[in-house]
Amino acid sequence: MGYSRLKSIAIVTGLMVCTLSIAGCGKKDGTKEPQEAKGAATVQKQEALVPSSAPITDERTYYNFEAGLQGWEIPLWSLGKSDYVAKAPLISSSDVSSKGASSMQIMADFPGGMWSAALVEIEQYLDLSRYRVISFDVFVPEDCPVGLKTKTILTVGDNWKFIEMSQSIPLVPGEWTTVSANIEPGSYDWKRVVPDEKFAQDVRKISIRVESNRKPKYAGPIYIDNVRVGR
Amino acid sequence: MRKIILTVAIMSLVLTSALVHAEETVLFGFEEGLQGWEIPDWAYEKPDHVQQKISVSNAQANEGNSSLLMAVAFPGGRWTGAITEIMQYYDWSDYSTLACDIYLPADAPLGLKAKIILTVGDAWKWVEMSKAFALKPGEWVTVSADLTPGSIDWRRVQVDEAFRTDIRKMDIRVTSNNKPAYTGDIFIDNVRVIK
Repeated sequence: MGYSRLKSIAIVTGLMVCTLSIAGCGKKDGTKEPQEAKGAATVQKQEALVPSSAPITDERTYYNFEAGLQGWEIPLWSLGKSDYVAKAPLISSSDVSSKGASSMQIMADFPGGMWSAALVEIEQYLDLSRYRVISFDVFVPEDCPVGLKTKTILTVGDNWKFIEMSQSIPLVPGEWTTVSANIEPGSYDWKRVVPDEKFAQDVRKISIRVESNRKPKYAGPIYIDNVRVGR
Repeated sequence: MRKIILTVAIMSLVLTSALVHAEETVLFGFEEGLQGWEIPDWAYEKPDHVQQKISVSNAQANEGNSSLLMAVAFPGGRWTGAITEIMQYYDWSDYSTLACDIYLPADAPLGLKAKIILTVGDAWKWVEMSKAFALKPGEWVTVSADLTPGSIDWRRVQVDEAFRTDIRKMDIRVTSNNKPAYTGDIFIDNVRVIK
């Protein structure tokens, strides 16, 4: 009796082992491998989307305003708007410069008490994918109040998507301020967009906006120079 | 002594002027006709191309006494272009810049833009300038583009040494992107390459 009970238990145990094996529980290692492989691929993809932290060692100036405005303009749509305060004409000026002898001068009239901005842009198809950052220098005279900020905005791709920098950089009266934004895949420098591989391949417009968010009231020149890319 | 100084000064000016001009080669001044420029057949068939005819005119000139006149009818409200071209093989290895001058009469609206388009290489690749120049009513505007390796003035092409060695066609296009409506003349002159 004891022997037959033991035999039954052994048979039932054997059947359970077989069932579990057929169900795949015996392939624990095998099923884990693809998961690990998938995990590794995800990790690799995430790594690829992290911008490099290496220093910028090679820069190329695209616009230095030495021989005119090189295509930069105040967009026509902004000329009739009360919150856009750049006044035509835009000129190449030798008053101040951060590179060479000239810069682009924007005459602006910020009324204060409301959001207002001076915006200039160039419409040019550019493939910036070989570069890691886009940078430019901005100068406001010493008599300009503290509080003006600036950022760049790129228009990219077939849909002409308008992509602002995620932060604005404060201008320091009497000093050149350098603004720099990373354009590599995975950059966090852009608002509501994390750049992918295509982001920098099809840049169609570069805009620079200087803004007063209510407080600063200022009528006078703003200078922009040395719009460049770096890697 | 004064005479000698004056003579030397004048000679220096003349020589400098000659050297400056020697750096440029005018390809088309339109002094003796259209020199092969035409409106391409396909452009007559496209509703968004609004050039009507071209001719030589002495109403405006920025070089010599005449220029190419392109009669256009931009309706406004949509993208339209006016184009003229010349089919000719060029090797511009010795030159760094391509340029032309465009004049818009004073009564024309703001907003029209112009660019040069090249057709290059065995594949007859259509290569537009990467940016367009805003035309200013009542003024001559120079449209220019860098031809040297690494230039960013051309769209969707990596400009290398070979780029400027095999030019097959040159187009000049004026566009209205939605806003400006304009019916009238546009003048093109002094199409040139610069060393």
